[in-house]
Amino acid sequence: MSRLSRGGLLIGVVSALAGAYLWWNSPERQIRRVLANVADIMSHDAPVQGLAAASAAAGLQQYFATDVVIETGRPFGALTGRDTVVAAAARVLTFAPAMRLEFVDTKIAVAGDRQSASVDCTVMATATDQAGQESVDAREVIMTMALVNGNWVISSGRVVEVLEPVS
Amino acid sequence: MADTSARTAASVTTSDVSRRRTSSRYRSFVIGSRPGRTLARALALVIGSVIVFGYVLIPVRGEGPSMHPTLRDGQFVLVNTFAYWRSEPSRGDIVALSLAGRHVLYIKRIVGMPGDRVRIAAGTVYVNGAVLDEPYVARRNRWNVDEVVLEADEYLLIGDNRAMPMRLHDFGKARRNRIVGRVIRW
Repeated sequence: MSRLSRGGLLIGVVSALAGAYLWWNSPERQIRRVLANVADIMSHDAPVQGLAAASAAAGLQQYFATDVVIETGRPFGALTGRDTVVAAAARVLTFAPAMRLEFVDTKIAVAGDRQSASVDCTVMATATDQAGQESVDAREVIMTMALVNGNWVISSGRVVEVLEPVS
Repeated sequence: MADTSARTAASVTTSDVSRRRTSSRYRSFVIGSRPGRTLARALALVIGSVIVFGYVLIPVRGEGPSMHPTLRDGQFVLVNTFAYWRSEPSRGDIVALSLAGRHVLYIKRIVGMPGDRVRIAAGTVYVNGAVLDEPYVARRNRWNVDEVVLEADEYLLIGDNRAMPMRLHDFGKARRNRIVGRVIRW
């Protein structure tokens, strides 16, 4: 192999490694990991009772800002503050016999300063009742993410009304 | 040398020849006489299927009771994304609405068109003051909705299952850009 070819190969390998490193640590990938972790915590095959539910929901704290506001849409109101969101999550874990939560069609737009990002996605919740009957609910959600101490957290979220109610 | 050839020829039995012919016919049936052309056709089929069923006729599995009895829970339908390429949605069309993307779609029927005045009284839909004929509705619960006036690019979409309580039925106004295509069912 000639010196020129070796040089070209070396540049190619270094570039590929640099690209892989940048992609691995990109804000988009980190944000997708946050959403995947939230979905993992909320997904369960059997009801989670008492302390286990509280403990599981507490695992969500690291993914939400302390002053997070989640507007869940009608007929529910807004959840304000991380503790409120975590408590609501614990209730869902307790009362839903089984549930699978997924974030799909996720579009992420990172701000120029790379300190915040907007996420537009569809949240799908597949719940199974005690009789084994499945029901699916899907909502479009827009979230704002913020970079706090090197970690991406959800600072706000609101449900988008695809079908604007008339009643 | 001639003796060796004779012994070699004699060692090839009738069953060997038969097996080779069967294998050759099988290979010819599966791959064809020209493997390159077969491979090209297979590749074209795969690419065509990806394009057609990924972007033109999207297969969708319906979940939920809101379109009963027209669509059963779990029924597969196709969404024709080219249906409104040269025309606009019409009243009565069953359409698919996108959320953040096309992974999940809402399936509803168009009841009100842009500019219409629509109200629901005791379960009956009135459009511009006249009763809307809805043969697809099996039973009606006593829904009541005050008159709404649809804007230029707004449609009113409702599921066919009017027997369910109104508060449990997702319906309302949607903008034209939410409509992905028309549902094809069989």
